[in-house]
Amino acid sequence: MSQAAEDPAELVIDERFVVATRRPAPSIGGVDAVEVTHRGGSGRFVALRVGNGVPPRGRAAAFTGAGAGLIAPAAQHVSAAASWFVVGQPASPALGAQTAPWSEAQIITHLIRPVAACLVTLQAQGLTHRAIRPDNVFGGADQPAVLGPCWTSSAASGQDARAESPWVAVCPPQARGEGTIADDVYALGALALALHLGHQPMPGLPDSVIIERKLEFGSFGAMTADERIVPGLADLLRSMLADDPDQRPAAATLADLAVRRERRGVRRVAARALRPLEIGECAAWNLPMLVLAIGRSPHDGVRLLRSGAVSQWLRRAMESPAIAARLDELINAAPDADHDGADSLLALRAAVILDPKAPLLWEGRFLWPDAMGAILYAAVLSRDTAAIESVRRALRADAIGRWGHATGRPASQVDLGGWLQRARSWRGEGVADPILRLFYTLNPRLPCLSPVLEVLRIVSPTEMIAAIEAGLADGRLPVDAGRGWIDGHVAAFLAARDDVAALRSDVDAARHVAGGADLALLAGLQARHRGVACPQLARTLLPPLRETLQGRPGRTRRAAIIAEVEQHAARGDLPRMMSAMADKRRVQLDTAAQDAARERVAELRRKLELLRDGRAGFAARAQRLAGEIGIGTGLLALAATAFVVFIT
Amino acid sequence: MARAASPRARTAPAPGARRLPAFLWLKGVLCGAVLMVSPATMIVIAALFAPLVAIVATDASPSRATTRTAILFALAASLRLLVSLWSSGGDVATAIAMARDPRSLLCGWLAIGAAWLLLEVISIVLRLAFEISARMAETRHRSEIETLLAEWGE
Repeated sequence: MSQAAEDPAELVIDERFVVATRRPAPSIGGVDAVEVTHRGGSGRFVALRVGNGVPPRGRAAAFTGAGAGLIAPAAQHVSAAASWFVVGQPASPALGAQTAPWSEAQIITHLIRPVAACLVTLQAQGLTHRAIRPDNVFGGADQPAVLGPCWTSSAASGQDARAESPWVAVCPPQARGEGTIADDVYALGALALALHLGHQPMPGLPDSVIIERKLEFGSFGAMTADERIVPGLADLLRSMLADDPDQRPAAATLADLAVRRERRGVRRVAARALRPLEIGECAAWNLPMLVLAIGRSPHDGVRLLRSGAVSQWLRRAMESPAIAARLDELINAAPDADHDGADSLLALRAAVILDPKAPLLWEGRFLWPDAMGAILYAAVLSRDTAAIESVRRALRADAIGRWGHATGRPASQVDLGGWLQRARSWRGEGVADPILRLFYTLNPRLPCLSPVLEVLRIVSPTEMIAAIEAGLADGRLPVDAGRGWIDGHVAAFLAARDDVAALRSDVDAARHVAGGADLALLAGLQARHRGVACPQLARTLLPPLRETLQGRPGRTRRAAIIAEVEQHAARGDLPRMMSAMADKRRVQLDTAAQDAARERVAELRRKLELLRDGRAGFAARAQRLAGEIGIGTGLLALAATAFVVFIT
Repeated sequence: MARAASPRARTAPAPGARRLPAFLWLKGVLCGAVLMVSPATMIVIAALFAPLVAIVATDASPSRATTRTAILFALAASLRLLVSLWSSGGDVATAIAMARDPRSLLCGWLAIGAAWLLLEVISIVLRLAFEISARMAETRHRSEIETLLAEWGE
């Protein structure tokens, strides 16, 4: 995936925003920004530059109507070098710049209520923010807070372990998923706590330790240890920072929150064992920590599960015989370790039994299934074969389906079941690599990343033909005769975003035309989407077709079909080229004519043989005929003489 | 008691043995009869048909076409002479006189020669015609093969 392209010094977006790509402005939410001039309008704008290596969220346009509490994209543009989002410049600095502790009233009035109101709007649209953190919320102690942009990267990928619940923070940044509004409520609670304290909680600790402490003591307990918090606010934050998302208050409740009203948060901390269970380098004191330990050392964890050590620890140290019994049942029913994926599935199911709120554990990695798009994005862009194969194994083992069935819940508002069903139906379909198809399906804003077409930034199959033609015309694509247009990425891109049934039909048609796969797929595209005439593209397709046509029988017929295909190519009519190439009736007639010609040649050769052999008998035959003629002449002469002598 | 082999049982002719012409005996009887009835006729015929001996000796064709043609031509040439011989009483002296007449002899012998020449010429012409026809067909076939191969390949 090349990143060689560079944008011009000025870009005009939507004919009203002039983006000065070389004049940097203060970053927003950690995203690079440049200055923008708004033609004939008021307001101050900047443009956020998101490099192609960062996965933007699929529904960026949906955030436009999120209301005043969110910095929404006013316009956007995808260029060869980056994605550009024009946004209004925040009126206030980021809350992360403020060091003075906020009072409970300031927090409720200027932070929780306005942000919660915005979250209610997002929730109504089926969206989450997942980027609530000190440097991405703007405002002050005397004015309502405004949420910064969230669509510039995959959900929650910019959050540190303090801003997310432990079962979200434990996942790699790209594997956290869209989540739910409850996750935003948690992040809002973490931000409120930081503002109240005047500094970040648990300062100086690495993320891994923060996660461990949150799992061991509960998020609120871990984050407020040795800190003084106003009792009323403490109850509110305890509920917002509950580790169980179901225990957190709804955004609507927070939006109507009254100051100094009595609130009671539920304090639930996982039961602690009498002694820890050592797995790898991790000591598990409770069930969530046991899941974390198995996830961090999957090999050791599965070994201890199979040996019964974990069940024993559950019975003796945790006093949880019911969970131990379920675990024993699972282990007894599990296939042997040498079975394909057996250990990974055992760890996955054990994690669900030990803590149903934990994310999916697969091959030592925690992930939320609705983050699959971002996971694949990161894996494909970095060409992380191990990660891609891991996803492939997960799909093959139906790991996500099993996890969803065992937990009885989808991971988030994303239609988990829908794309799982699609992923299953794609197996063995043969049109394109299922993983790449999933990659393009789950990243709908992503352009085709084929090395052949990447420079064109094609997002939709409808624009593919026109984009290639334009690229060939303006020199962005080299006119390299005989090159292949359809590689694995293009096939997967089309399979993910075009009509699969039609695509399959194109592929079937291509099977009858040697070297015509590119033509079949591109012709299908042009026909389906009423694409523009593409003579330049057609010209690049001609050399392999000519080569194929050279195998057709009959010089005259061959010349005729080549001329016809070239004629269609000159007009840029790919469907007609394809129909000429794949005309079965024509091929049958040509073949029949060739067979007839061969039979005629054989017959003529037989005649030549006969002529050669018959030449030896010419003398005898001539002599015989001469004899017959002579006898006839003699009889005639005798008769004539007799007539003269006897009659006259 | 074993039955004796039939004396009429035929044995197959040895390979290479020359078969005598059919009805040869009949021809002999016929010639003998003519000699007995009209020796004068036989004298005239013998004189006029004398070159036939050479033709019979050289005619190797199974049908003896040259011999037969020569006989027919010779008969046609000697018919008037024979009729006048028979008209004049058919005595041997007249026959000898006729046989010694150079014009009669020349007429008979020329007829035999003409028959031989005619057959040879016809034979040569026919061979030539066959050869030309074959060559023309060969050329036509080769040309068609070349056209077909150029169009359709092997």
